[in-house]
Amino acid sequence: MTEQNQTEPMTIMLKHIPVALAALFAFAAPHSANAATDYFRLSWRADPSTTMVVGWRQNGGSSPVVHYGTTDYGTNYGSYPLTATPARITSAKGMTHSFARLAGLAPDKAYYFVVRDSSGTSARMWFRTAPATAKDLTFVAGGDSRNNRTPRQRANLMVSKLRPLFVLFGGDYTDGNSNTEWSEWFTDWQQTKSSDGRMYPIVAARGNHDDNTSLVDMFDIPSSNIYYALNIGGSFMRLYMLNTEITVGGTQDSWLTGDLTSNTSAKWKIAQYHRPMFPMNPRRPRTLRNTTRGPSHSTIMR
Amino acid sequence: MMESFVRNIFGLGWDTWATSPAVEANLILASRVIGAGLVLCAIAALVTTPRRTWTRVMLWLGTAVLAVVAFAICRDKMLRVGEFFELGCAISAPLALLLATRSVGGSARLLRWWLTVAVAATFAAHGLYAIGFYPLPGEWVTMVMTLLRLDEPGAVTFLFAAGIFDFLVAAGIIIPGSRVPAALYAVVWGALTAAARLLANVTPENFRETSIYWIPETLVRLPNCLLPLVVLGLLAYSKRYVSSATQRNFCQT
Repeated sequence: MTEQNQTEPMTIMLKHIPVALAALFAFAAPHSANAATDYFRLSWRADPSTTMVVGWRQNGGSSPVVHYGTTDYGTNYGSYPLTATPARITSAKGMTHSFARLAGLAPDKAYYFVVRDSSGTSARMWFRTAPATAKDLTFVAGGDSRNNRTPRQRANLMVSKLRPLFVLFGGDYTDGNSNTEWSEWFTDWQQTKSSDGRMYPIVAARGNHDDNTSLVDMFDIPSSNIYYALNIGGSFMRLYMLNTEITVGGTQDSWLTGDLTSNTSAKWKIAQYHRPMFPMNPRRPRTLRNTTRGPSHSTIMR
Repeated sequence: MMESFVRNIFGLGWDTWATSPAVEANLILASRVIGAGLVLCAIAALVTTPRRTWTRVMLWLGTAVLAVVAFAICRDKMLRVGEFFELGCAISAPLALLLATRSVGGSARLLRWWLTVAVAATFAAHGLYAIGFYPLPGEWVTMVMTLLRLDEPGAVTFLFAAGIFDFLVAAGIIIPGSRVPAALYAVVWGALTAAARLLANVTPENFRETSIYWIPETLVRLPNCLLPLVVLGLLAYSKRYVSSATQRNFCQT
């Protein structure tokens, strides 16, 4: 065997190593955690038993797709039977927000999902749709997370431990509605995610430190005036999100009156709004002055 | 924003500041002391003369307190500059009184210019909200709907028009030739908007509780009417002074 013949197998092998490495990386890439998506949040804009909005910040990358299904395939995005691309992309507070509106879901069912884009695949997360009929459920209600980050983070951790069906948030997410504050808020919101990846939809109302446009941009709220209603458990519960930063009469009152009239079957009607009818501060006079700011008292008390 | 201030001035971490019952109790005490001080300012305003030094000191302190309050409100409202200048007349009122009770002549001119700027700033700032540059306050819409029996779109349109007039007043009160009508409008509109708080919100069935809150809210807004009234008076005075001086000069020649 000549010297050239002796080296030939080595040369061939050396030639194929880069190809092998490339194939290895190609195989490994789908499982990369380096997706350009973060600041995940869930919300509802339609029937909570059959829909879910998956929102996130697109921080680079392109062509995001939500891969989802009722079986947990981890980050193996190709195995999920269903996909959804963003129905809405908006730039606000220094971020690009994408919202995929999942529909046709089964009630009271766990759905697992990942978001894959050109940069990679997100961690696997999951959520549970609301039941379509009356059923015991848990929800967490709170708000005013704006001026003390430590309790906010602790409250978010509590959500991850309590594992509610949803979180009612009564407004005042940040103090100054600035880009930095919203970035911090979303960073902290990731702490509501349980250790097994479960996420909880936020049902948002507006506070005096918020504005309508920002909340629509952050949570894909179905109403540009930030008043809307959702059914939970069919006719078991109807949630009303009201806006105390706009006039409580006028179109909001008309809508509320009409909605209450046409949804009399709801066993529980729960209203969420920011400014209380009676001040919680004992130093302030207990006065119905807040009816000029709070929802129409007579409408609510029907 | 306040975190470093609290740490540097009070030596407290933000968590402690925001959650400590002792801090809250001290803040309540401080606000009561400030309230008492402002009551003293009100008394000082009624009895002040150039020689009553304590009244002069109180009025200066009152001006400073009002400026700090205005800044705090501005800070609370997402640092909207309009929120600060909306209180221009209120902040300027004690200062105006100081200038007005010094002496006549030079101070009158300075006083008129100071008040003109304050009125212009106040009306322009209100205009920014009324036209929707800043979010239109829901309670304004509610007041207009209640008092004028308009629907919501009608009330919003009315406020938009009022906002345009606010800008016209802000400009008009500075420009010679239009100062008098602008000041007149400001007096009337300032009075109406101050009174609107009472008329729209105080109810007979809850008179005691609603008036406790809304009477002070009305009083706080009275400078928006009274300061333009002072401007009107000063314009009339300067006209008569100039007219008298011109006559004296004419007679002497």
